[in-house]
Amino acid sequence: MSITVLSGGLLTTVQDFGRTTQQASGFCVSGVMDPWAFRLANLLVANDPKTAGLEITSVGPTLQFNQDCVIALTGATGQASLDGQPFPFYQAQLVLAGQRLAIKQLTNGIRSYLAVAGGFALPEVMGSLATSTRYQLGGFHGRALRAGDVLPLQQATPYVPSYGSRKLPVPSYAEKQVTVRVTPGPQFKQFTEQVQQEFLKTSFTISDASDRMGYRLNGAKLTVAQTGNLLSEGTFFGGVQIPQNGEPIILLADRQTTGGYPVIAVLASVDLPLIAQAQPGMQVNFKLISIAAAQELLRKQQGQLTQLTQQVQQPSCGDLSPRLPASRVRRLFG
Amino acid sequence: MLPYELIPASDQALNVTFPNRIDPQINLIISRLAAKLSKQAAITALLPAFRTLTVFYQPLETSLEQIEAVVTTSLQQLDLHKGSEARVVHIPVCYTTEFGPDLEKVAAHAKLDTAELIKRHTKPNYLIYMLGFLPGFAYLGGLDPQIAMPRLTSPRATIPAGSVGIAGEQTGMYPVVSPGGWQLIGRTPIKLFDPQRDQPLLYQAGDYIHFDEISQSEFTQITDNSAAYQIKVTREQVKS
Repeated sequence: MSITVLSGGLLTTVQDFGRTTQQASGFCVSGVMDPWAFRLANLLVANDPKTAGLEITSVGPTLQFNQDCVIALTGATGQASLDGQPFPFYQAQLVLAGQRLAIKQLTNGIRSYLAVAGGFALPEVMGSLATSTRYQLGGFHGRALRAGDVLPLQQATPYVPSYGSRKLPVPSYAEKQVTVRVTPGPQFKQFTEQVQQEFLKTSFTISDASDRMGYRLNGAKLTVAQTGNLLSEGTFFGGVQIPQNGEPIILLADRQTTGGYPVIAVLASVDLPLIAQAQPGMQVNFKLISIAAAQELLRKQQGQLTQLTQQVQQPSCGDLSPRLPASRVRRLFG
Repeated sequence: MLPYELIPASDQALNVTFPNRIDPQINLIISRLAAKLSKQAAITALLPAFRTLTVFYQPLETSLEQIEAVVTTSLQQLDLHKGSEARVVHIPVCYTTEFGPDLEKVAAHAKLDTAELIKRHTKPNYLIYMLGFLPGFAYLGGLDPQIAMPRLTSPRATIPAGSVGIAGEQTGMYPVVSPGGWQLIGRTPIKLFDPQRDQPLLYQAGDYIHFDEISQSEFTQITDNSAAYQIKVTREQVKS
């Protein structure tokens, strides 16, 4: 009941929604960078939404399945193959014991999510399976996967209901430029109107010094708000802080829990995936919306999720459920 | 009650914001408010800091207005009666330019020699206002204002675990390797955060920290026998 890692890829980690309740102790939240794509992966394999999966970055791993199980890949897409045959993204797929899944370079977006029906049998650390590589905590021994690792699985059933309906449209991620919506940050009003406008008009470039902790942006040096010496306070997933050098930093999944730099804006939650899938060199523009508007977008997204959930749960009469003997026979004669 | 503002901070968070100062009274209000709000189902997480309490909520299940109402009511009902005996955790620190690359700069900024700087840094019992920024990073109040110094203009990419520093009127320790903008004046040989230990942290918010100066050879000795080292903890009447 396991998956053997034949190659780890660039940065493949076990993630879930992270340690949100541990922030008061200073433990970073971690968790997935693209919560939406992760949610869809679990939806496709009929998992509880909180079930941990793999976050795959830029160049994927090669995995050997040691038992039959149902898996799905979402988020960034690229070249993936199962025993040499093309393997589809955004679709629940039965894989059989002994089969090898190779995920190569991701070309549309940079982070994919692999969900396994039933999830991984790994110990929770402070209430979560999220990997924090920085603190060597959680996930698989607190680190990225590498060749030779054996990931234990929960009792994965090689069956999910309405298997044939479990596919979703593949999104297209931005290649060169992305506009993300933001709400005013806690220190927004402490920046002059001129600096606020400069922030909203500038096309920033995502610098190479960008990772799961945060994206550093170049493009304009903003004059820092007159806050005196701001005392450290809580940070946010998608918070845009302006350090003394004036170049914005977007705080992401592995962010510190508190910080002392003024926060001019915070990404609307629904647009976090746009940044998570953007890579260094791309242009970022910010569009200011109200908190009420951002919450309305969240409600719309929730409505969309309900719709997609119904869609993947439709009975798939034309399509045989992948009962095991039938699949084995299909494999033998296929 | 001190003046406060409710500032919507993101589409899923509200900041309860008190005046921008390090103040034991603010700390007490925030701790008690956090304890009270932790019982609210609509609130997903609480993040206390020096003068803010960030209240995370699920906007699909509640509204900003409802959260604001709950916070306002809770503040009105707070019991601010204070207890007295405190736990003081003693942290051994080696103050040298090797471990504290900013030691001489901070001394010069304070117009003191390094020996006097160290004397002033090891004198107080520092109240742990909050843990944040890094696992187990304690924000301490009670720094002698004369040895205060602003953060670096651009953060360092890597600061070794155990580093002790000053930023503005705050002093603190880096429990793990991290980037950071604090002025570094020394280092402790003990593991401040260790996920493999039964208690990953040696202290919690509300405790006090006292720094004890050690020599380079004591530093090496403790590093070489880290498993055997027993941290010194005392119980004292502490005046904030």
